[in-house]
Amino acid sequence: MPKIFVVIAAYNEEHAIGNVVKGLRKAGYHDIVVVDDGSDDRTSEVATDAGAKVVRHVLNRGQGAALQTGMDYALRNGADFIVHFDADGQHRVEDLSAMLAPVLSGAADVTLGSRFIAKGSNVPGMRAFWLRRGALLFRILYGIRLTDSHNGFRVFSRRAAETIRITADRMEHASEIVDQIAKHRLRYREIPVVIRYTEYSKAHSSQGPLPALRIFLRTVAHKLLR
Amino acid sequence: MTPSALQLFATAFALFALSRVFLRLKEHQLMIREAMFWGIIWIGMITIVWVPATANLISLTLGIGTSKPIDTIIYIGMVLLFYLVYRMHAKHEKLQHEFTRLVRLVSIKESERAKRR
Repeated sequence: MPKIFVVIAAYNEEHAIGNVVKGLRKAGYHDIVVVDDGSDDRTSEVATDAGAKVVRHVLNRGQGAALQTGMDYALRNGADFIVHFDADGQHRVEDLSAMLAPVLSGAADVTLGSRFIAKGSNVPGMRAFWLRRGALLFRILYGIRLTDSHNGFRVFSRRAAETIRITADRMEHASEIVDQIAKHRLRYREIPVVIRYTEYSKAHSSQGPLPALRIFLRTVAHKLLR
Repeated sequence: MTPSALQLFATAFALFALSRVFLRLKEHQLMIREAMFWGIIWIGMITIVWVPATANLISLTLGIGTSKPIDTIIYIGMVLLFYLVYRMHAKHEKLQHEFTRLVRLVSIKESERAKRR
């Protein structure tokens, strides 16, 4: 049986993380690593009670940093495959088997979720606009053709997880991952997934032109200063 | 020629800054290359304050024009400021990166220690 680790970066997610972990465990995924990114609330306790292994950042370092910590932990503990999954309940466990299939069969090194291939995600208008512009930017900067950008649902083979190193601590890690997929010529596939937009998830995620511009500027600055 | 208040103030400030550079170099908090950079800046400031014609010479060398020495100083100052902002930003990024590595190391070690207990 291949060892599949699900890595979840969580910051102040005490209200959602319990159900996310329980949902994954119910579906048969037992190696769940929640990286509590310096939360002020009970995220760590709730995740532990739900059955996850918790790695806790003593200070908030950002989603990119938390995901890399989770990947390091998973690799040290013998992961064959690593999944990135959101903490706020936006991702559906039922999409995970389709995300895993190409990587498990060896047809791809990485799969990336896309909310724009299949219907059902009901993406808010402005968010859809900026996400599509992001995908266009990936095509221009890295030559990678995607329909979605900043979709946190990803699966990596062990080789891909060892190859990719996230150095962008905050939200610009999404661009960095695509950059590294291109640089290391990893085989990738986009898989249709449904993103559930709830009032909770919308309140917890950054939307609109200003956050998008900030991520873009950080992406450029990170690339120049690295 | 009686020195102006500005000349005296600028010189005192530059000498103070030079003494800080020297002290930091002595305490190994500054590399020789960095100390030389700052030394040239502050000695250059003292030179221009006391011999304003130096700015004319620099203007001519750089091809900026000879009419106003102050323009040359402002241009050079702006370039230097941009460079310093860039350097500080780069250093800040590097520190952030090292900080993350440290937090990561501590968190993984801590979770492994908890697993063994």
